[in-house]
Amino acid sequence: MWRYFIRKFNLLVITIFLLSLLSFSLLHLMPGLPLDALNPDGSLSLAEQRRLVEHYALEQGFWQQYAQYISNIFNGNWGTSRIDQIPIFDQMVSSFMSTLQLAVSAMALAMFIGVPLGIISAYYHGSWFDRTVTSMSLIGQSIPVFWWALMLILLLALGLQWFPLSGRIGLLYDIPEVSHILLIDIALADDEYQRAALWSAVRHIILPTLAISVIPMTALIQITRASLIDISEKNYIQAARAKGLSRYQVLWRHALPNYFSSFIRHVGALTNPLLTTTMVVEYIFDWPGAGRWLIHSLVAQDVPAIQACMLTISVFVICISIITDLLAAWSNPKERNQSHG
Amino acid sequence: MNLLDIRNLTIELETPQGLITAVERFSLVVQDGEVRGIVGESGSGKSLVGRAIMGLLSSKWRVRADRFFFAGQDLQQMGVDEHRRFMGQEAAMIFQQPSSYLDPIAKIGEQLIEALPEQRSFSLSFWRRSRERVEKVSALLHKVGIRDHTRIMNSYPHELSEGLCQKIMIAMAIANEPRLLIADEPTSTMEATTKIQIYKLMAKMNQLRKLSVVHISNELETAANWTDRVTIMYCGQAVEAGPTEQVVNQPLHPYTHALATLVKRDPERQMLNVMPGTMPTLQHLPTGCRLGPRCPRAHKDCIEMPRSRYLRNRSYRCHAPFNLEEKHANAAASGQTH
Repeated sequence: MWRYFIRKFNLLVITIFLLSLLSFSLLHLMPGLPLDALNPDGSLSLAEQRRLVEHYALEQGFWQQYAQYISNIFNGNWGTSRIDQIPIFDQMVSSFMSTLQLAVSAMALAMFIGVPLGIISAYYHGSWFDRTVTSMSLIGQSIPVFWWALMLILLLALGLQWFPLSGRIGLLYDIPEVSHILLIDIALADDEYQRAALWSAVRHIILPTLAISVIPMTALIQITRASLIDISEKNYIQAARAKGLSRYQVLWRHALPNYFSSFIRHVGALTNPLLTTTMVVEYIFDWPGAGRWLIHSLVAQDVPAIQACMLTISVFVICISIITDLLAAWSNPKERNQSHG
Repeated sequence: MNLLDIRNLTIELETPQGLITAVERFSLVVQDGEVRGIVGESGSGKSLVGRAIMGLLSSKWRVRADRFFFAGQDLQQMGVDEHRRFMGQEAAMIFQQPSSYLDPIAKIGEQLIEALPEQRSFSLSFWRRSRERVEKVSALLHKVGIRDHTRIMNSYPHELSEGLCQKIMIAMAIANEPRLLIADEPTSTMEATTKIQIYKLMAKMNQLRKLSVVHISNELETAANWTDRVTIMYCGQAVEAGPTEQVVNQPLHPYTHALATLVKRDPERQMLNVMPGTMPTLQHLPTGCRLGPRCPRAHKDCIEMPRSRYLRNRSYRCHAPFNLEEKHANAAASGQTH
């Protein structure tokens, strides 16, 4: 297991190195000189340009620039955004945390609904319930996310007016950002409208969560169903039945534990589509997250912000996929003692 | 008393093309304490019989029989789950490739504890109860000849050899004190010495605990060594049944004859007596006797399906049996048909 862990860790380090190289090269890959990329409309004064050249070590060689870039990242000195002159690091932390809240709540919803549905339809596979769930998940999988999000807005926000249109909390509430996690911040805020703020935050998160969770949910339904049907045809399940265990006991003690490691792997693999979907949905719901910020920065050609977003999101995805890989390997005794995997 | 009494068992598979009969009118009677062999090539339906007895066939298989009794209980009267639970208590089954029948992510000890019969002993504390279970499991392992029980109980199936896994399967099988053990080609992937160990173990269980054994095998040779009676299957039919010694030494059916010459290792006839051709698939059975196209003794009567004939304590399904005097054959053909 330790050797496996070290191999995976090496992979992580190498991938992050390559990603940082890519993100760093973005400045040079833009058309024109790097300084032009930082100053596309030529509005900066000479002194400001000097400062940028110094900050990015633009007068030195490629690798010195890269070293400077890395040391800037580790010092938390990520530059300032061209759009609103806010330090990128602060903006990144707060927007990424808010993206994470949305993504995690959508994934949790997907798991809480998708996995049980998958289990039930595998358990009664071939029944009308299974057929309904399978066809519904097929429909869910083929719905474009932006359309689905707009439909939710049209029906539930504009039509029935159950939920607010956009944002993540009512404009009336002023919650100081401490932990960057909204619910904790509300709990920490010593406000007489705490309850109302909490309610408002919950109402705001429901629609985007529903919009995002469709894709991981349908994927989890299908994966769970297929894996469990596959497992239930394995010999050891037959043997467990021959022991006289009930179907429920067989499912609970043998089928589900065997499904666990592939479940973890699939959750890891779903991180990437999950974050992509979250970005689109953030833009539609005007959720102040990393995705919306990235899209705005792309439009405004704000290279430092694009670099920061890209690096943060991709490093996050890689970390999650490696962590889930390790968890999956650890939960399977056959892989636990192998150094290759 | 008959422990297992099956009369005219028919097993059919539902397919989009219609029903396929995999086992046709198969009869089997197993006495208490008997070792019974079922021998046939792969595809002859012998494993299906074992699974049908245990109630392990999935819902796409249709099972019906004129009599299907175990220990005086009518299995056909039971529902699927009830059947399985009842047979799970009264009988046990071991398979080929035993490691694939052990849950890969649970420790051997846990799986053995699971096989122990449920006990309602609320008076004992949780710790005492679990210690008692561990003791019982190690006693089981000792019984099947495994001495280092602590190491085995803490291992996972992939860490053990097939032979050890089969011993563990047998330990699980005897945990419930069953009356019948169905062994479905239990040694087909093992080395010769391991094979002998497994058979010795099963023979010991049979002698010490009066455990009846149904041994399903694809070679007459392994079955011949230790079974009391044997049934030969071909294409889903029992072609011959009787006391093992008589079947091997004086086979009646041509198919048994071919198998038996392989057992006797008659060097001059061994090569000659391998039957030509292969077993037909169930979708393309020949008319009449199913062995017909391959049979060296086939004649014009064989386009009619031979019925089971009984002769003393043997039965066979052939128009032109070996080793039978004309007088007997006529008597059998005319009078004692069934």
